[in-house]
Amino acid sequence: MTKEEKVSRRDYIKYAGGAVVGVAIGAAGTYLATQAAPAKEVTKTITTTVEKTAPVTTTVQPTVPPTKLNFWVESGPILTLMTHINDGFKKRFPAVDIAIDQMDTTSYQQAIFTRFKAANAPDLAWMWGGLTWVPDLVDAGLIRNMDDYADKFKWRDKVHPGALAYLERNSFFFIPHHGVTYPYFYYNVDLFEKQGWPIPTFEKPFTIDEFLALSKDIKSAGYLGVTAGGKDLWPGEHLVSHLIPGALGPDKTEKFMYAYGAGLTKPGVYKNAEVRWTDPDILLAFDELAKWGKEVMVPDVAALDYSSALTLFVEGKAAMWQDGIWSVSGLRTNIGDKFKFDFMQIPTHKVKCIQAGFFNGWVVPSKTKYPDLCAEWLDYAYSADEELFVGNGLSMIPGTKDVPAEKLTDSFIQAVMRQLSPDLGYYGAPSVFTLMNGKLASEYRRKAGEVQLGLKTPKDALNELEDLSKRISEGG
Amino acid sequence: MRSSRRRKSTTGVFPYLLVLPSLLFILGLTLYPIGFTLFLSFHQWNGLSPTMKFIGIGNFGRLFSDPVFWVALKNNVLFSTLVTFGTVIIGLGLALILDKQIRGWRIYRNVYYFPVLLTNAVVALLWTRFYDPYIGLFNVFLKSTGLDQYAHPWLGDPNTAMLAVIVKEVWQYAGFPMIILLAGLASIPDPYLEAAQLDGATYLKTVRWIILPLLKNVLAITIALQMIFSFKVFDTVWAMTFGGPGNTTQVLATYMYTVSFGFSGPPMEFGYASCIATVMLIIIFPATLIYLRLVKLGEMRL
Amino acid sequence: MKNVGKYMLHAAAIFWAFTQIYPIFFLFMSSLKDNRSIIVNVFSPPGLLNIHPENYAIVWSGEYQRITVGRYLLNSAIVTSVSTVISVMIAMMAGYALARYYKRFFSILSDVFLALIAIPVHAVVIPLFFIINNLGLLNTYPGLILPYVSLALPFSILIAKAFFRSFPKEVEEAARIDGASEWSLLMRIVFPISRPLLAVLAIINFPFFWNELMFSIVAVTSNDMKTLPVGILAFRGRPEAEPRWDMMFAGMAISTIPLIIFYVLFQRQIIRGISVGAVKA
Repeated sequence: MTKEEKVSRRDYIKYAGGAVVGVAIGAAGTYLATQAAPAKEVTKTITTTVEKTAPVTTTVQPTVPPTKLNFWVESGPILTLMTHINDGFKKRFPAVDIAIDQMDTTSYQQAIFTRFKAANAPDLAWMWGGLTWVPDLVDAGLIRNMDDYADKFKWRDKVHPGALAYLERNSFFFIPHHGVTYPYFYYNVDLFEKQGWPIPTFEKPFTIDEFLALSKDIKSAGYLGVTAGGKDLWPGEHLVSHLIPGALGPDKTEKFMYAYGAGLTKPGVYKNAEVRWTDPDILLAFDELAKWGKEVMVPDVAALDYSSALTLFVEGKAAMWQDGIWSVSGLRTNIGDKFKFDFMQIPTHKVKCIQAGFFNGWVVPSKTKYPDLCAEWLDYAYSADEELFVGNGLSMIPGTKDVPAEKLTDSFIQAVMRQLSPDLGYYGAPSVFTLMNGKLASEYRRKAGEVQLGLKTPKDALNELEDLSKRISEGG
Repeated sequence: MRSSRRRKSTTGVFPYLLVLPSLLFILGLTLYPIGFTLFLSFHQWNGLSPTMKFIGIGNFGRLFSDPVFWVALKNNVLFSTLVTFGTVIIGLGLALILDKQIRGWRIYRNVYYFPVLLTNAVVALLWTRFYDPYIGLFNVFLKSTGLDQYAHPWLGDPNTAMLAVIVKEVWQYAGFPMIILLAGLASIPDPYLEAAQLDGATYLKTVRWIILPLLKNVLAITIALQMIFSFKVFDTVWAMTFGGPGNTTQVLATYMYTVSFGFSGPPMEFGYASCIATVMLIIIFPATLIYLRLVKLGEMRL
Repeated sequence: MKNVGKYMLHAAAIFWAFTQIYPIFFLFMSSLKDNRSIIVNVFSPPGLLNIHPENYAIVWSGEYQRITVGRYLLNSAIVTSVSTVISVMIAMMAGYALARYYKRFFSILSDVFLALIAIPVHAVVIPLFFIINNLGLLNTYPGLILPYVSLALPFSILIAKAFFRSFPKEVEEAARIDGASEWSLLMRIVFPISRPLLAVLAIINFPFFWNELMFSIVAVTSNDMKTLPVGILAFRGRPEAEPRWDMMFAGMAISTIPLIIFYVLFQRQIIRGISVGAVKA
């Protein structure tokens, strides 16, 4: 090692230090500079005193030490919803300030998982409806039963009847609210008209055969059929969760949902189940799923993540796009003026049905110090006023009943509300996925993906699901 | 040596102080976690509840009958083997070319090694874009040159997905064995090669009969190292396919992750995931010891 | 005959160089295009009037789907530098101790470190997560740095030990005879001459920390604490997102730039370090 080499190495080390410091400073500087401009989504973190008073009061309460409420929300339009609710809430409780932490799905799951039992648990957190998370949280004692407030504020009367099925153990551990969401097929209206393809209405939706014929026409005209993002993860499940009630009909669906949902771990329920995975109607649904995988869906659906899939529809290469009512605003942004789009009912075998998606809502962690304030907030969220924002801002159906349809001005919402009216004869089925036993639901979703991709035959998939259900019912 | 024995008492606590920080780190953040993993392998735990349920070898039994585990194991072995094979062969070829020291060989060498340093996840994401069935590099190229029938959903077809991932890995890491083998080649004394040439041997014969035998040790080390590295794969597969479609590209590390943190929410099964981790440990640990033994042998001979 | 051989060698070398460089070139080229051109004109470069460097700015500052590549870069820089510095310091101290002081305990320790090289991240990810969580260090810098250091130590210590073993002892013995204390011996004599070791350790550990994904994906999930590899995965098409390929390419391009700089500065040392480090444990 000569002297010159030593010197040049020292120089390199200096350069290294300089480079690292330079990058760090550059990154820090730019980051701080951009932080000066407010980000598009706002988190409010102003702290003031909290007064535990009723909204209208003339007496002055002694001030309480400064506190703030911390709410959690997942990414997406939910933040808009909660911000709107906050704005209205602030008018009634000017002294209460709410900071909202927004996280993407994975972070959110992890946060629930790690911080609900920690000192920095939130006061209120948005939650997916159904049996996936809530029961585990209840069993671990991490969320608070809000029945006391539910009785006080009479929430059972305000909530949409369908949402009551989502109450964990029939108690307000989970407080359902907005978002009965439905999966649909969106389609390129301009393309359909140009090609002369038939367009269904809610009054007269496609039958399965008509739909298959359409798919054939689409293919022979050189276009791709239905595209769906999410690779093999959830589009298959959404489809088959629609086909199952459509094949079973209301009665059998309710029985099926209970036996493999909340009832699966109750003694004797599984043994006496009247409708099993191996039921011929469920096999019918899965067979259809497999057939659509080959004939209807875009050929490489498993290779497409959400962006790739959406690109195909937006660029006019695919005639249809499978997604839910929640994606309308996103579609409007992405498609813009390129073409007109609309949505159609997903066809079913025996019964016209709407697959009610997730009734989402909130939970209040046990660690909160302000359950009463949270309850006030929740009650405000149930008020009819909020629904105006909820329905239009999120392209979701309000979760409380008796919202006058004329107050919802979004054309898509109106169409769905029209579809819900009893004279059209649609069965509003509960969400097969969210009301299924948690462990089973994940496997169900996987199997649906595999069947749709042709990786597994429907018979095998259903047998495996039946075996798994048996194991779970026996405590495995 | 006499002086060192006297010195032992005068150095006192100092040497222990030097080693103390490492000890603390290793004890708390490596040894304890390993023990905890082993412990968890015999329990069932969803991470939320305060209690863990002891189920003995239940997890291992479940592993045995779990088809996804066997797919993951098979994929892992396939991945490891093919990646090693590919990178070592290409690396050897490159090293042989570079050893000739054609003009600009240093530049080539540096270029070849560069992708090794890149972030695995970023390169994986880039290649995912290349493999996109409709707007990806490969298929667009194939379609534009009229070879439409070869255009394929590389990552979407269970038959090609694993291979597509392997190609990316070989592309990125061929430079690594190359560097090691280059060093090995450099240590072969010229007289050997000159003697062979004088005897009229062709290049290929030289490679086969002289270079390769002399490189045996370095080759063994390289192969072992590469197999161990690629067995631990997570980033690449996770970023490119999540283990899909279905579970057809799962490897042990991604399966472990899916079962525990996953991204589909509960049930999170940390006991089962720890069991998978234990199995990985059982495979990797002896393999690494073999690698170290090879290195020791190599050192003695060099 | 010989010329044909040489020609083929050159051709092969150029071919492989092309395959290595082209994807990177494609990456940077696409990152400057707008979304439509990426979809429609996959191979063509952006027209001279159609270059969009603002893609970088947008992706940097979080205007696209709240992906703040700038912040991720900062986090990676901090975590990597601090981890590197700490692990190199600790490894050098321990390596020196193991090399120079002959104690029964130390030889056991050496064997332990040797065995620990065999431990992959996967074996400790789950427990580390819970330990870090219980310490309240999730989503913090120490929460990443501490595990990273402990993951890097076994290998680094053994390299340090090999390095110090290969030192001639005369200098140290002379200093001892002159009455120097152990500590000043270390500081004034040994460390200044161990710059090569420092370089090798830093160069081997830096990319490992920078590119680490398995643990960081679990340990940092909040958007402002993500490291670069974790943050980049966010480009993978989230629902409700506008599919913006230009953003994705720009983000990926930004992530590769620090490594390019690192490589350009340290090519020689890196290549030397790897050839030495892998063969000598």
